[in-house]
Amino acid sequence: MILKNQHTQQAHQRHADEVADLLLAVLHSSGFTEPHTREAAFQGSELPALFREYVDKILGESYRITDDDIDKLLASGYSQDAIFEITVSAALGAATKRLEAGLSALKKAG
Amino acid sequence: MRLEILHKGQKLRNRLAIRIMGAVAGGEPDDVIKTSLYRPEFFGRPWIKLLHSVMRGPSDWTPGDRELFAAFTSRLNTCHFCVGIHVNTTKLTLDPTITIERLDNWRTAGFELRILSVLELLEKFTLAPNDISLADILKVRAAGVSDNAIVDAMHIGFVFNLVNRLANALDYDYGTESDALKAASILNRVKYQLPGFLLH
Repeated sequence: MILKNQHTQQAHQRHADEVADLLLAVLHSSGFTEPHTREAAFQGSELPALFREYVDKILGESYRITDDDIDKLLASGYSQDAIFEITVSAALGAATKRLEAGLSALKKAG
Repeated sequence: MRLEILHKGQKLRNRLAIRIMGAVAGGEPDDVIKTSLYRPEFFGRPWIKLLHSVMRGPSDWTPGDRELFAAFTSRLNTCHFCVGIHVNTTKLTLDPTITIERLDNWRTAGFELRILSVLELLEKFTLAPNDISLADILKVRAAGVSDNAIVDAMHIGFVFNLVNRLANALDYDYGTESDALKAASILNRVKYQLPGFLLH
């Protein structure tokens, strides 16, 4: 059993450093938006209404996003770089939520 | 792409590299590469490192298996761009008869048990992650999949749940079906890598 648990722990470490580097860069590097704004997009919480609507689409049915969604953000004064950062942060949040759920179930399996 | 900066906002060195890559390969680099080259310290540098490790690094899964998982996840996320590219990479690396229809009918498409068990896990991972349970993991293990291979498959799910959303939100476009095949062939040849100096 101990050996099995060690094996599962080792399995959990696979790709962990690369994922951590990606999270660090997207959420904490200097950019056009503040880290707390990217963190909010990542978590899917507490964003201005327009961004909220856009991020909800990224998290849910991203294939429904249209030119109009981006045009509305640009017309409201958000820069292309800000939209890029929020898009990556939200997409990374959706992917991370899934990875955490999967790895958590594997951990429970021991 | 919907953000012009990803086309025209690249720094000079990378604009030239995109042009050279296009000339050598006979077509422009795809939109994932352009996104990765734009402000690489923000996204592209760690992204390409992770992508290469997940898709071509050491694993129980063959490159072809991994391409199938990528195409399958992309189909679940209705990502036209990634489906177009990764059905073609799956054809090149695993099974020339793979089609979108077989992905949609995966339960009866003749995949071996190990693959089937992972497709079932990836479906829940992508569409209902909160429902993944201990029983789901035990089922994949019972099909003969090691914990390392389960973690590797989950990371394929991770990178494609990310890039599918980028592709859909930013409107990635591969051009014609022939361009998609060309892009798949390049991706397979370069093994998801970019010259390091372009990412600094």
